[in-house]
Amino acid sequence: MKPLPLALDDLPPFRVPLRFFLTAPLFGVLAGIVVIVEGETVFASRWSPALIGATHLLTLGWLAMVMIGALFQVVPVLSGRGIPAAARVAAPVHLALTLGTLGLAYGLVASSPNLVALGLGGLLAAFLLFGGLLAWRVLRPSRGGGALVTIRFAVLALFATVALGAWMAAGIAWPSLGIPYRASTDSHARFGLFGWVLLLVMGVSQQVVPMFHVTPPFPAAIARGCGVTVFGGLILLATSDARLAVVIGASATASASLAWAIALLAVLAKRKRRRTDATVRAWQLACWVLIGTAPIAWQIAVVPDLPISFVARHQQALLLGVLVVLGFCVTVVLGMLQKIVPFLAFTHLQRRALKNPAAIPLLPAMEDFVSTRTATIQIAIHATAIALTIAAAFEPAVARAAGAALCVDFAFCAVNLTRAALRYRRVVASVAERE
Amino acid sequence: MTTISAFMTGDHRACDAQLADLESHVEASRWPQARTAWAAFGAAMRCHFRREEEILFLAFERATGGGGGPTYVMRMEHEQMRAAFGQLDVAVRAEDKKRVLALSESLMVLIQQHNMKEEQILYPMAEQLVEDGDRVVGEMQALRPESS
Repeated sequence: MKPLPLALDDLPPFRVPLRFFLTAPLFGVLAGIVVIVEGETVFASRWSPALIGATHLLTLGWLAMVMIGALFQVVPVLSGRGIPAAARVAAPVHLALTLGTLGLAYGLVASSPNLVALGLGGLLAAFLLFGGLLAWRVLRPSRGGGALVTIRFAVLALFATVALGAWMAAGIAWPSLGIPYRASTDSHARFGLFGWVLLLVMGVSQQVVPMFHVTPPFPAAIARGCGVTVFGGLILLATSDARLAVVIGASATASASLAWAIALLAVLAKRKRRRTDATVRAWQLACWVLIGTAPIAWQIAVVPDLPISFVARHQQALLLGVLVVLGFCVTVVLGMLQKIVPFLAFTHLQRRALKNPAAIPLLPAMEDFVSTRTATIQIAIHATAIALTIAAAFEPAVARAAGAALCVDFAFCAVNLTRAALRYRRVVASVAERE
Repeated sequence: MTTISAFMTGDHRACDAQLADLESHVEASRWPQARTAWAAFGAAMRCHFRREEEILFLAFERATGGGGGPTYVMRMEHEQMRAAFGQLDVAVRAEDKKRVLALSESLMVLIQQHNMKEEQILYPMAEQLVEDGDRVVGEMQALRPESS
């Protein structure tokens, strides 16, 4: 094969993002195994070590893993130039993130300060290396609309999340430091989930949903206002305990989340492409979960002792965590992955075949890598896993069933993505035979 | 006078809507309408490519002093899409519903990631670098899709 011309370097080699995408579901399976092994104790309290460990297997091992892999791909599209030395830094970032997540999660589950310290080292290496290169590309001043502004807020929230997380992990790893780490938990979780993930999803969705599903654009007030309102609310909540600050901060975050979810559902309802594929289903599922979550998040922050609340006080944070992490964040990423991997396989093959038109009829479509049917089944399995995990937050006896559902959910994903990658290799080989 | 970004982004959206029309007709097995939609989409895309390759990219390359870089990648992606049009044409002629929908999904994603690069990077750069933007837009507007 002839080497590709230099100007094609805007698209990193498939193996760069693929290693992240193929590893991520394995961490989801691990989270399921933790829930099965630890059983009822997982959902006994928000401070249960197994729950915190499983949560980080999902947030770092699944969410951060896929998002970093996808950013290697998306940054060239958004900024015109790729992550510097993408092909060389991908392997060390991937290794550091994998070992760091395993160390931290196992250290949290087993309450081992040494493993938490090891995990902290790996994660800091991964985030500093990747975050530094990313900031180099994305934070430079350039023109940009509402989407880019929202994405910048998301990156700031990511810094806050990592800094608070590192501070807390240091408190666990070295107890003699006397860091009151529990006090930072809410801010860490809020910045990570409502800041980094939700803001990034808001910014990206107003860009990609109208394009890929041929919908009208988001209403201007939503496109410009939601991101800044959520970010302002989070800052207020993180910096003040005053009653007024909590009411305003929680109301701002909850109402902007609600407004964005309703706007996205409305925009999707007006889409010109009527085909309902797995990605549309995933967006709809995530929006409905967020519509259910926002009022609960608001109530927990503002009136935690509301007598008519259907959730007992000790279950509130548990339920909120399950809804946001598994119901919203994991769902959005799972839906996108059903399209990203087939598309990358398709486009890399197509570029190879351009030099060799005889190979073009051999090219599979995206559908041939992950079929619409398979992807739709994936979202249905995931919805079942969410429902069972919500049930487990109320009734810990259901925990093992929820853990099993999580294992099936992510194992199904791992098998399908691996099959897509293997099919890609087979087609590459058959195209090469004709060169 | 409309800007390069506004005019070309509008052109993208019009083409997207035509591809969505093709999909709806194929999904409902309305093949005569599907063939008409396919012809209209093809004409609109060819016109859009000519607007870029024969007018906008040349102006951009004159302003930046070379044919490498962004326009090289954009031209190559146009070739990718032309290859996909060829595959789709075979499937539309054969009235192979499953294959048309599979290929149109792939083409839609290919088009959108390409459009994103143009709308985020290339068009804004062209507006800054190309001096007589109004004339370029005028020339592009004068180029119309051939009726088929």
